[in-house]
Amino acid sequence: MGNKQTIFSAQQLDAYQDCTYFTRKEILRLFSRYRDLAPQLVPLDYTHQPDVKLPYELIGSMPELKDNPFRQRIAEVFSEDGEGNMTLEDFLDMFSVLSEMAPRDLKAYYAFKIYDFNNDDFICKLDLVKTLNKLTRNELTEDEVRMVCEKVMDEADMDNDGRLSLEDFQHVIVRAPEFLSTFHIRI
Amino acid sequence: MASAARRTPLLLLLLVSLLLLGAPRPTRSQDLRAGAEPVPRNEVTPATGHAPSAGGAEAGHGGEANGTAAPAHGCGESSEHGHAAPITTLPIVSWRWEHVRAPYLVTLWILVSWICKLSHLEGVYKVTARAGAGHWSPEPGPNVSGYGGSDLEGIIPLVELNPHAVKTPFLVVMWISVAGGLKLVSPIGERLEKGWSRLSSLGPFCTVIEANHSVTNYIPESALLICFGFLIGGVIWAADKVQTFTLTPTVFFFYLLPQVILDAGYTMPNKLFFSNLGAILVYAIIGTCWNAASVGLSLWGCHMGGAMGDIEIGLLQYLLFGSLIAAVDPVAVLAVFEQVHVNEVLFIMVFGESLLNDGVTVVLFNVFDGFVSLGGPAIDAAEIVKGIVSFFVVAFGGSLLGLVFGVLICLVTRVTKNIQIIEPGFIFILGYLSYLTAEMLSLSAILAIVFTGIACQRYIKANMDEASVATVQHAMKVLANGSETIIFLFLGISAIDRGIWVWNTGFILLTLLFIFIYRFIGVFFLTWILNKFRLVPVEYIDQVIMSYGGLRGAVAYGLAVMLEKSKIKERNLMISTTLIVVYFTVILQGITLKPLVNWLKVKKAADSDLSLIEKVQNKVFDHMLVAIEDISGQIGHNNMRDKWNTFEGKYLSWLLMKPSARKDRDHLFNIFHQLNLKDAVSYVQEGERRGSLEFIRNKTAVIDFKKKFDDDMSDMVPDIMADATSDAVPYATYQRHDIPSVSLEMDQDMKGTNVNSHELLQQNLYKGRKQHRHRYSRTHFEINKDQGEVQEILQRTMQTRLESFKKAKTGNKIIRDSKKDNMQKMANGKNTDWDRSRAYSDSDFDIPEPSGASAGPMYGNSFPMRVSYRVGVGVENLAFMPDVENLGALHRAPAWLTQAPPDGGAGVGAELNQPVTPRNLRRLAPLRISAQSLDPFQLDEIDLQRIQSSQSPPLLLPPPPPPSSLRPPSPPSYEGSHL
Repeated sequence: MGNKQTIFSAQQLDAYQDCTYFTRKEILRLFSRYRDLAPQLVPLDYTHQPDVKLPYELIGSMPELKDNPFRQRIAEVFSEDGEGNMTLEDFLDMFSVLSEMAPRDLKAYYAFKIYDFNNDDFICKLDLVKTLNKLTRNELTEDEVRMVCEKVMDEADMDNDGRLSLEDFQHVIVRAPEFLSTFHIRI
Repeated sequence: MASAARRTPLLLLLLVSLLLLGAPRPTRSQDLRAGAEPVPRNEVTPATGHAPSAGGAEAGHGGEANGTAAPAHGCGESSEHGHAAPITTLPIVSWRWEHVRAPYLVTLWILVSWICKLSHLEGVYKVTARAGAGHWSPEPGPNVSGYGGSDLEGIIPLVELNPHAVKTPFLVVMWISVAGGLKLVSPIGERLEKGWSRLSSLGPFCTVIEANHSVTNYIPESALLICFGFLIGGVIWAADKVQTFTLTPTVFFFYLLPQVILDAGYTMPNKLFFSNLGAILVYAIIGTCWNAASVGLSLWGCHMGGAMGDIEIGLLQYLLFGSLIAAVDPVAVLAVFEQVHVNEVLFIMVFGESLLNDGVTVVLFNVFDGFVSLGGPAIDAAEIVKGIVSFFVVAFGGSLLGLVFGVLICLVTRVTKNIQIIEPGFIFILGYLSYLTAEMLSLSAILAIVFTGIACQRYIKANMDEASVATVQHAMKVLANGSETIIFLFLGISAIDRGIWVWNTGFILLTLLFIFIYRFIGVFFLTWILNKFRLVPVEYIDQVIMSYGGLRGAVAYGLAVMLEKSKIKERNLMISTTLIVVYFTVILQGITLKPLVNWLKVKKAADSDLSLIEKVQNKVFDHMLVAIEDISGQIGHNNMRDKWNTFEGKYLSWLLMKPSARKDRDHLFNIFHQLNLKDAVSYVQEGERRGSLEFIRNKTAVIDFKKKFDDDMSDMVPDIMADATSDAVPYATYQRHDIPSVSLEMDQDMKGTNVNSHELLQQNLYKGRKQHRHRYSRTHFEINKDQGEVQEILQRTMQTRLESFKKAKTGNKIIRDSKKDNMQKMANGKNTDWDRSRAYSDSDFDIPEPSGASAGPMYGNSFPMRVSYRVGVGVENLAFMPDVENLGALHRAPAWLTQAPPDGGAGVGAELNQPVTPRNLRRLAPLRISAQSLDPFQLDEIDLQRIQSSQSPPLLLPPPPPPSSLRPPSPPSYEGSHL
């Protein structure tokens, strides 16, 4: 197990530690998890910063994820290229956001981004419709979805511009006491 | 088909009778038991064989069968020891048919008869009916003669006093009503008030105590009830000089406790419970063991130190006492925490612990009870291992049994569509049966019934009719709350008994002290460990409340009473100490808990419901987390939950749910359901504005109407048609799902949050004429579905429309305007216009003319409520309430009419917003004032005749001009707006 130290150089580890909320040990653990996803692609030696990406096809084809409506969106949001191809940095980022230490605002920001399907920095009705359709697996009719959307907008839209800004979203999040505990993953 | 159906109940009957015949056999004689008992129970067999004092057990059984329930051999919760008495080894489980025989038989027979009813396909029904007819067909004749015969006997005592015949039920009812009356003291009792006061008819008494409402802000009602128990017990004792009534273990465990626990399980917040299950289990198992051991050992230590003086209690007996006093009591916890509103997690921790620790208590109690009867030297390692094994058997066996019964309930409710009236009963009967079965097998009965409730709750809610679900909820609350009341009252009454009080300062005070201290130590230590694993750690304040909320209650008392005098010399001391502990915790800690919670600023439960966006978000987060866990290849509890949900959705709901119900379970669907209700308000309003409510409430009316229009008048009224179809489309889409959009049952959930919409709804809903057709049938409780009425309504609507159309033809602009109105465009100029036209038309009418006005109520009354508007929750003619408000305006009606405001001010705008019908009905108001006795139904009849006479020619024709006295009030402006 001593050879684990050679995966990263000391500077790399420090850098990772600075950029995430993790300790050295946790970073190594996450790396091994990352590598487990595709042992043939990920080298054991990261000291030369190899340009390795897990292609989205690989993530999306995992059997557990087949039913999950949000897998693609999550991969897209957290991957740097926006296509769902994850580098190790993306992977660490993702868990960092979801760690205990991450502040509420950061979590809220990423949750917001996941919602915002069309990347226009607002949750508009289209985004909501998309979310609802994903959640209900297209079982609701258009009218019903529309009504739910209207209701949601009604509840959360503070500045009445017909779409939810990050501030609106955070306002809702702050009120929901469960948010911190739900938007969290223990490594 | 019919023959098969006939066979089913017979087979069932046969099966059950076999079961019943077979079951008591083992207990009938000790010898038979050896052969008859299944494998897990063979532990008992050698024991009974070797036991020299088998006769003692026999005697015990005799006492049991007499139903006297001698405390020494009570049939409670954990009376396994009843059998354990003569044995030399520890039974893991035992067969205790005798304990539960009476209630078990009753319950089983009810169940069997209902199942027979369930399978009453036509054939069976006919057969039984025919069979019954043989007995009952000559009913009137013989009965009359029978009465005559009794007359012939001559002397009929006018009033016969026969107190003995009704003594028992009378006493029971008396006590229930007294308890119910006392319950009125509490604000929480309000929900029950109606039921109880009807039951108790203690009107004046209630009102006296009800003045104390504010008291319960400071004192929890459980404490108050115990105090009332003291009072009543004192009165009884003063009168009788003996203790007449006590809370016997039989009554408590068999007739009072089950419904409280069933209610707890049925209303358990599943997600919260299972996500905290780990912590709850730790508290329930380790915490309770710790409490029992530490209290027992410390007391023993103090005893050895000489703190108690001269009492005969050995180490094992101390441990026995510790185990019965260790468990936190679900009833007491529920009663106190219900009023404190602490945050959900804290509540579920304490409450879940109190429910689940029953398994531990049963086992500990039995084990130590067994050890006490075995005596110290006979205990070896094997016995202790057996004790540990029996814990798993008792706890998991009980839970499993509960789950099995839960599944059974789901399966039954899946097929009870034809017997909706007794549908709710199955939940109670099967729930109770699970309790009794567990009791019979000496498993943990509380665990069994809790898990029955948990397992069935979500499926039966989907399976049963909405009315049945509401019934279950209410009945459950009535039962649970009622028996909780009785439990506390009797806990108080039981205190007034000279026989049980033995005072030993050292023992009692030390017990109190140790219970208090060790609870704190245990909770803090366990939480400290748990917090290392918990995402959101339990805060110190919460821990304090958790420790402080460890209330002891009736379960401990029941167990203490079941101790046997022969084995434990200081039984009375233990009982009195238990009582004092109960009083101390329930009264003192209960009273101080609320101030403490406030003082420590414990996080309270959120008042409001989650808003829709929060619900959607929680759902989204769930999915997200699962996705991320998946991406990372980690199996966390999110993942597990997701797996479970998939499994549940795929297989379980397929098995346990009606196919039609499955769709409703969608998470968002429920929210949508609520939204629907809210929207129903606006639809109704809109419909009201159009004056044609049946558009909303009756699909068929819409269709019929459209069709008729198409057939008859498309050529005549293209304008109207266009209007009507465009109106009808959205309604049709809203009704695509058979979720009742206007359901009063639903309101109850929303009462708190949406008072406004609720009231609006109430104003807009009213009872259709002849809504409940009383058919004097116990099995059918249905709403009038008379096709004739639909037709009548249709005709009436058609008529008014035609009328309006006729008038509209003369003044086209009215239609236009009313269309504008429909589109809710309130341009001021148009308003003026509208208003003027109305004014003109109004002035055409003689307003105070009574018979002309009579058309008003009919018009309003005639709308049926056909969809989902069920069990007599009617709001009678509330639609007309606005009318009453407008009476003032009405008196100035002439002035108002002549002075139509030239410019549509704010006032006019507001008027326009109102539904049309009330305005239409305004003409009715003088009638109501002047001629109160005029029956609206009568008026309806008149109207009906009129309509029939006028509508007998095809709809196409404009109705013949009615006699002026019967002229319907259809000024073009209203009618236009009806479209």
